[in-house]
Amino acid sequence: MNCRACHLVDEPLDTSSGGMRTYTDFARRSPVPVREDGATVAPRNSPPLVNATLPRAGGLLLHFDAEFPTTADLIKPTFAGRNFCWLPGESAQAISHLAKIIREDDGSGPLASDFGKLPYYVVLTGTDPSIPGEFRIPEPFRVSVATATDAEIFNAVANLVSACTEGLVFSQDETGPSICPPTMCSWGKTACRGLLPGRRAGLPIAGDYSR
Amino acid sequence: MRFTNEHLSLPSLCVTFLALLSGNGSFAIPSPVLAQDIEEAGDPSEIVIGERLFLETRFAQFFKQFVDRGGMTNQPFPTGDPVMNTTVTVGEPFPGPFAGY
Repeated sequence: MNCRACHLVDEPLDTSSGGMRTYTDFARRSPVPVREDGATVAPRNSPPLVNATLPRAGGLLLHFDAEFPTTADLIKPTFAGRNFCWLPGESAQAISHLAKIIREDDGSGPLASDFGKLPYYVVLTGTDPSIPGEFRIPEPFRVSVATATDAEIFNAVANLVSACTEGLVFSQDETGPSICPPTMCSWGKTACRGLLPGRRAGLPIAGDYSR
Repeated sequence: MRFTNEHLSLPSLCVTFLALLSGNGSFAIPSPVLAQDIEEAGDPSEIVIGERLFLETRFAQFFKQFVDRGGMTNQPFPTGDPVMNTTVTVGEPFPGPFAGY
């Protein structure tokens, strides 16, 4: 299981009855891996992530039932919860396992090959001078993998995934309104993954758009 | 497997076309920097690495079972989690993009 399995983008583009997604899925309720509790689906389907974390007057409330107030709060129990095949009471195992993967990954896998073949411990530590600029994370996101606790590594991973998801916004012009409406995305040719200048500059978002 | 933003050409073209039309026929290029212009420069590194973690399948308990049975962290997964084999829809499922992982 990974996050992207349910937060799809262009993977089903060429599939009959598929199409472009804005980091969401096609299910009524997203499937979860089989465990002895018998559950087969999550309580909800996967909410679209594009524009999901735009600042808004009422504050940020995530999941359709406002289960979480921040992306990091959402990501941690997702990595350590039922979506990733962990049962209630297995959070400590989940955190320990994730930290083990970060410590032991050697960058030889197919996923790493798309990201410079760098081991996770090198990328997350962030101090190796051989790390290319595109993969050298800023200091606030780094964690000294060699000395960090499992929880510190887990938090660092959650912060990075949080940064990734919060960067998912529709492309906009300088006035704010979207220039890439969802209907356009449904045509299947646009990823609509852009960075919003006003957001990066801390500028307010138009009220109508943030509701 | 990496999502590379290569699909931005159509909206970029649309914006450029609208910008040209808005110049009273004078084909003026707007001066403000647009979001997609920034994106062309590449995502910040924390987003790039966050994306890699977003795609990582080995954090799941299913992979821990594999490790507990003697599998190695960097060893190719012999059989992926069956839940990844299909993408569930409100109709017929279609093949999952991460089948085998």
